[in-house]
Formats: sequence, C-alpha cells, structure tokens
Amino acid sequence: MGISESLHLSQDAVLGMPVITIIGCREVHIENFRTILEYSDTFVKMRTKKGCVSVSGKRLTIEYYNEEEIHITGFIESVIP
Amino acid sequence: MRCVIRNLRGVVLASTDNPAPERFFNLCRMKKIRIWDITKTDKGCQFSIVAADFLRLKEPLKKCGMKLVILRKTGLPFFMFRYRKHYSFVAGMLLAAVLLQIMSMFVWEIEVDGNSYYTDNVIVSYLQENDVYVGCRMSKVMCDSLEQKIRKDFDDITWVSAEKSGTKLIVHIKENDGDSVVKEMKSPSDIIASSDGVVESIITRCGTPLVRKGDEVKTGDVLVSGEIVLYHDAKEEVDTRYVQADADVYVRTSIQYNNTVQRGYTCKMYTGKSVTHHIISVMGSMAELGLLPADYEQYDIVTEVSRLRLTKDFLLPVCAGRRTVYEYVTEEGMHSEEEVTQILTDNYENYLNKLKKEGIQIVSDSVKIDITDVNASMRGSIHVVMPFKERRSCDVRTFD
Repeated sequence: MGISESLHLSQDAVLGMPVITIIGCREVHIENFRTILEYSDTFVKMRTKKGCVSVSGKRLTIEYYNEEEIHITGFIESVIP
Repeated sequence: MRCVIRNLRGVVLASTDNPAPERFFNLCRMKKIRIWDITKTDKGCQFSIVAADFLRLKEPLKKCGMKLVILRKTGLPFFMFRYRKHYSFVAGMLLAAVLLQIMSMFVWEIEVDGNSYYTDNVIVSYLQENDVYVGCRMSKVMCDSLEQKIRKDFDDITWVSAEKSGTKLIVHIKENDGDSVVKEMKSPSDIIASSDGVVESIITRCGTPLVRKGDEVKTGDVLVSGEIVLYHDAKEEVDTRYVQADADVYVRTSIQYNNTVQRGYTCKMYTGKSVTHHIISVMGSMAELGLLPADYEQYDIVTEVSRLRLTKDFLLPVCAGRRTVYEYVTEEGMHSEEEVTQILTDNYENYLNKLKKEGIQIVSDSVKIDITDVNASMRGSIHVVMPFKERRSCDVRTFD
C-alpha cells in the first residue's frame, strides 16, 4: 500500500494521475495533461504525467488546452488510458 | 465572459498546411501561448489565437518549419485599425457618448408597482400634475416630497416609495388591503336604510340604535341615530351630543334582478388581409415607414412597440415597432336559445359572486328566463342579508 493510499490522499494530486471527465459522448476533459503526441479529426493521443491517453471518435476538436488540462469535443467513441 | 475578453484583445483565425502540427502545439504550450478551437482541415488544421500572442509565434513556427495563413481577424483592435482614418466615425462615437449623457439626465419611463385600486393612469396623471412626467429632468424629481404628497392625497395608499433607477422612475405603492378606508365625516351622521327589509342583526358602537332585531324598516328610515341624549337619574334630558353613528346593521331584504341580452349579434370575420408598417417613435413623435396603403373599410390596428434600452433601467426616448392593419368584415348572427340561456346564467353567476364579494349573504333567489325572438331576459328577486352603510347628516337641534 502506497503512502498516499494509507494517508487517504487524492492520487491525482499526489502522483499526478490523469483525471478524465467524459460528458456524454460529446466532451472529454483531461487533467494533468502534458503534451499532444498525435492529433487528427478521428484520433487524439496525448501524454499525461503518468502514461498516455488516447481519444478516438469523429470530428474531434481541441476546444482548448493549457499547462494542466485539455478539453476535446466531438463525437467520442472511446477513451483509452 | 471569456469570449468578450478575447474580442476586446482581438482574435486571429489561422491555418497551417502542416499535416503534423503536434510539435507546434506543444511548443505553444511551453511558451504559454493560448490557442483554442483546433480543428482538422483537409490539408492541415486551423486554430484561433489572441492577436498579441500571434506575434509571439515566430519562434515556434521557425522551429517547426511551419507557415501560417491568416483566415480572419476579428475583435476590437482590428475594428479600430480598420476605421482609424474615418474621422466621422470617431466624431460619431463622441457624439453618441454626449447624447447618452444628456439622455441619462431625463426621466424616460414611469413605472407604478403594487397598485390594484388606483390604476397606472391615475398615478401617472397625478404625477404629471405635480410636474413629474416622462421627459422631465431627473434632478427635478424629489422623491421624498413626492412620497409625502402621494400619501397625503391618496387615502387608500398606506405606503409609498419613489425610486430613481437609470432613466426610470419607479413608484412602489402599497394599498390598504383590508376594508376600504371610509373618509372621516366631520359632521354628525345617521345610518339609514337604503331599502325596505327586516333587521337581521344590529351591533352599535357609537350612536343611538332606533331599531331592534326583527323590526321592519322602510327606505330612508334612520337605523342608528347620531344624536345621543343624556338623561340624569330623574330621566330628564340633560344634554344632547351629536356623533357620527357607527354600527354593523344587517337587514334581510330583496334585490330585484333584471338582465336583458339581445339575441342578434355582430361578429368580426378577419379576411386574412393585412398590411404591416414599421414605426419609429422619437420623444413621442411617431413616424410610419411603409408605402403600402391600408385602405380597408373595416379594420383593426395592432401596434407593437418596444422601447430602446441600453440596460434594464437605462431607457431611451426612442421606440421601434410595427403597426399591423387587419381587415375584417362584419357578419350578423343570432344566438340560439341554449347559447342565450348560457350567457344569462353566466351573467347571473357573476352578479352573485360580485354580491358575495361585497359581503352580502345570499339567502334565496327566484329568477326566471324569458326568451323572445329579439332578446332574452332574466328577471326575479334575490333575497339577501346585507349590511346597510348609507349615511345621512343628522338634524342638529339647537336650543335657545
């Protein structure tokens, strides 16, 4: 058992785990984001502080991104952490 | 809000034909250059960026070997730049600012709130008599003195507050919710019978009761006298005082009901033809924009006008709207017996409800309907128990 688990601390705050919020099949919000690895209108792959996250779908648009988070809209088919 | 700020700073929509712009995006992120609405296009992708940040893209573009094409420039800085040499535009903006400042010095709408007995027109007319009207100087409106005047001149208004908000004057009113305030009669008065009947109950608070429960009274009889005679122990008259009689006198009486309705009626049939003209009103003067004449014989005019306002309470003396003239023809018709019976019954029920609202108890009724070819009537009498409140000045005896 890790220290953060034994102290009941949030994993995303301590370890920088990605927090993925999916709103319906139209929006994906990912926190603890680092860089965009691949972008097309059907596939977005990005690196987070712990591993990669891939979003596939149709008509994908990066609504905005900054140092910490990225927001993708479009028709979301799958999100693979 | 974010959209407004971006527009104030200026937004550039740019596109690139690089098929793999991911490095460019990551470099922008490193340099804290915000880009948004990244969309894939056939050749590359397009995105939006703030005008100031666009100038910082030189280094990322050089590192990636990319070139950008500006598709669109929007926002305030570009707008100002485009019209920088239009002096009339600058003059127009200054003039508009001055006009707005001048307009804000006047009252352009009077709103009356909380009134039910006194209509808006009554209050507005009263205000006009006191030099408060639409178009008067805002500085001339003294809310405190206005409130005092309204309270003094309207008996049924128990609370009033005048408030200036933007170019609007709002008069909040609270009326007397209970029984209507009876104007104090200075002179002594009697309570008299307003119709024939039998006294059902009498509770006297002030004055001398002249009738008892069960007494028959005729129209004009004095029920409670305002004359109070004082006797001493030997039952001899000592003094006479005159007061305003006050009592709850309920009398069982009957009300004659007669309602006649014509069977023939005229109804409007709209032909579907209409002409709409746009109208503009500036400081009360209305101008109609439209060339098509509305030369109908019979028509209804529907005018929809909305006042120009900058904010909720910042109104301007400019109204815009439209006036539509609808043509109609009249057709004669005849109510069937069932229809006319229904109309009479509805009228009768409304009348009974009105009596009940006035505190009159309905004991029984006997009405009948007569229908002829021309009209229909409902006649009869309604037996009620009603309060008598009619007053008459009492005769004051003078002693030499």
